[in-house]
Amino acid sequence: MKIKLHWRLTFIFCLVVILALSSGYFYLISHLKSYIERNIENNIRNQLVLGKDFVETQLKDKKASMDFQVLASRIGSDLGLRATIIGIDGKVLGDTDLTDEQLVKIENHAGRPEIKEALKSGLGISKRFSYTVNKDMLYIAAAFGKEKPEGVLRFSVPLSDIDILQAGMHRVVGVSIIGILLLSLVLTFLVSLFVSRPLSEMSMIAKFMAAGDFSKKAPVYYADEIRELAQSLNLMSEEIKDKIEKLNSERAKLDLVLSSMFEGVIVTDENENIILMNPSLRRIFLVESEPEGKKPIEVIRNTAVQDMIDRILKGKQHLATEEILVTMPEERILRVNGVPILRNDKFEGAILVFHDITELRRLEQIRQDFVANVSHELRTPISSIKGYAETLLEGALKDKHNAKDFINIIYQDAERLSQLINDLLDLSRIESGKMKMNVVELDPVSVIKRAMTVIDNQAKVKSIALKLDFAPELPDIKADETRLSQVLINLLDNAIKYTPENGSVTISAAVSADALQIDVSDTGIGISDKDLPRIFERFYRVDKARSRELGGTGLGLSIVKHIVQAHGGQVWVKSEPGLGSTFSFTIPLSIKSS
Amino acid sequence: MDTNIIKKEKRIMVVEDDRNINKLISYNLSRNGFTAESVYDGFQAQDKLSRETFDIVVLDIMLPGIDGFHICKSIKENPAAFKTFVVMVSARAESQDKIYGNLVGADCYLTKPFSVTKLMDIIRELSVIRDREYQVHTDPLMQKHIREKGN
Repeated sequence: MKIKLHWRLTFIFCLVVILALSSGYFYLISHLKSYIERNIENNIRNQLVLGKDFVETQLKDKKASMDFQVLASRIGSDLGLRATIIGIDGKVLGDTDLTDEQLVKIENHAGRPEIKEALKSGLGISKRFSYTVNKDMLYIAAAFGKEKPEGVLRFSVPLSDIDILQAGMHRVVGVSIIGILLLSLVLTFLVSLFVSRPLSEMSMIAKFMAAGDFSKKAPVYYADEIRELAQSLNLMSEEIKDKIEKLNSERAKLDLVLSSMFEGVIVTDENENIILMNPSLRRIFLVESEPEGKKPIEVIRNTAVQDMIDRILKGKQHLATEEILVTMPEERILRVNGVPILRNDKFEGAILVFHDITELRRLEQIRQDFVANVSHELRTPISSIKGYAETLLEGALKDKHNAKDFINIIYQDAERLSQLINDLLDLSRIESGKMKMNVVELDPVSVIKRAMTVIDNQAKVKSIALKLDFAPELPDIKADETRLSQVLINLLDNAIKYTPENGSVTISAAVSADALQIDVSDTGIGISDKDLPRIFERFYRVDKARSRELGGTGLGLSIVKHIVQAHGGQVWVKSEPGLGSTFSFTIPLSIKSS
Repeated sequence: MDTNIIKKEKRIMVVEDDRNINKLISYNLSRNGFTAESVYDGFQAQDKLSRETFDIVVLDIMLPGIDGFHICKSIKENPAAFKTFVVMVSARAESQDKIYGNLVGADCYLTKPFSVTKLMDIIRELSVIRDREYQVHTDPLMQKHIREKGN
């Protein structure tokens, strides 16, 4: 059971007070008794001396007939005690408490110790039980007589009188002791409260501290040890608060790093139980439950990862690297690097970091595809040129009907090849940022008109109407004229190529926000939804054969996209199969015009 | 050439999406006495192959629709057509492509730009093999020989 400190203190104080008081009390009582006895004895003795003198005086006056009974009665009643006069022979001559008849019957007192003593030395004292009055009595006897003793005067006092006196004393002392005790009880309660209150306050504050509340301060009262304790407690509270804050901020930093990391992180202990798993990894493996304390295989269901942890913890591999394929929720390629946590050459766990290399692999794939595409695109016209030349050399030259056609094909494919090489060079220059852009303030109307003159002949051949749809005055733009022309010519060239005869191609321009938007719309065959998102990819052709036939390299739109982006603009396309397509792009306005 | 061998007319399919190259191969095949059928994409090739048998298929890999590897694989897995020779002619010059071509059962793999003369030599050789096989299956003497001595 928990007993409050101040109750304990009160109890201890009370015990001390009771002990002190009771030992005082017993000391007092024992001494009081003997003091009272001595006092009474002395008193009686003094009275006895006076009584003796009185008896002696009486004897001198009435020598012969002396009524000792009367004398004893007188002395006894005067002094308020029992007086007995005994003759030298031990015969009782008079007694305060006895009648004459009783007196005759009373036995000889010569044998009584106090009488013997009195006759011998003049004074005798004895305490004993009196059968005469049936009480414990104090007897004091003194011999009287002029030259030689003539008798003995004895005073007797019941000892019970002393007891009564003593009981009175007991009461007084007892009551005062109880009074003191009660007073001291109250006082000790107050004192102990006074002592224990700061302590209990401090204990309360310590409890708050343990619960993480450092706002409370221990009160500092008086310059004593408790004050020192309070000050130490406050200091400690400050320090702990600081430490905890530091720890918390470190933890918060770590948490922040782990949670904002793109990479997934998992930490296990030496028994392969998960200690930590960051949000990224949870997202990758769709972990919704709390993974702490579980085995990795339970949470991420990937045997390769579990194997890695096994190997690391068995010390078989210091740095384990693995590429794993995750199919849920989407296909991802992850490179996992794992290292053991070593402390004093002991394995304490493993840390695995998961890098999502899907994008990297995708880009690698794009690059590889591009290389393969370039190779294919270059090899095809060369095959054609080489093959036809070979065929002609092998005798087809004599085949007049076909020879000219073959030479024509050789010419076309050589043209295609050179166009392809030009486009590839352009593209690589733009992409690598090596293309020098001569960005100046331009009047867009003149650029559009010049591009149209280039393409005009092509349009006329197919009876396609070229329309312009914009205000006569457009604000200046910031662009490289040659490159912008290239964009327009590429778009117009495509529009004409994929628009049937008697169709129309419209160029419209309008200012939107801080850029000029130019649209090239045609009434051509359009592009299906399936092909639209990929239309700007390099070598992506909706209809490969047709594109070839029309002399396309598959790079035109890719070049358009890159040039527009290099200007800080955007490019997009809308299309309705069978109705036509609209290619749009933006070019920033010059500061003057915006 | 052995004059005793009975010559059967060979059917050759040219699967090539580039019209110029398709025309080039077809022209040279007809100059060498073969009849060639031109096909320009994977679907068309697959469709034709499911209905007809060819002795030799000249096959490009990068085709619209179904790629050449798939077509080759389906030819070689088809019990009715597995004897068809496949000559792959591709711009894919990586060794892994050649290995893959081999895996799907291509009999020959030429990379673009290819030599027309070499392609014709290969086709002539394959047609001779086809003639010999035909001989074995049709000549009663040969059949008897096989029955007596086993394969």
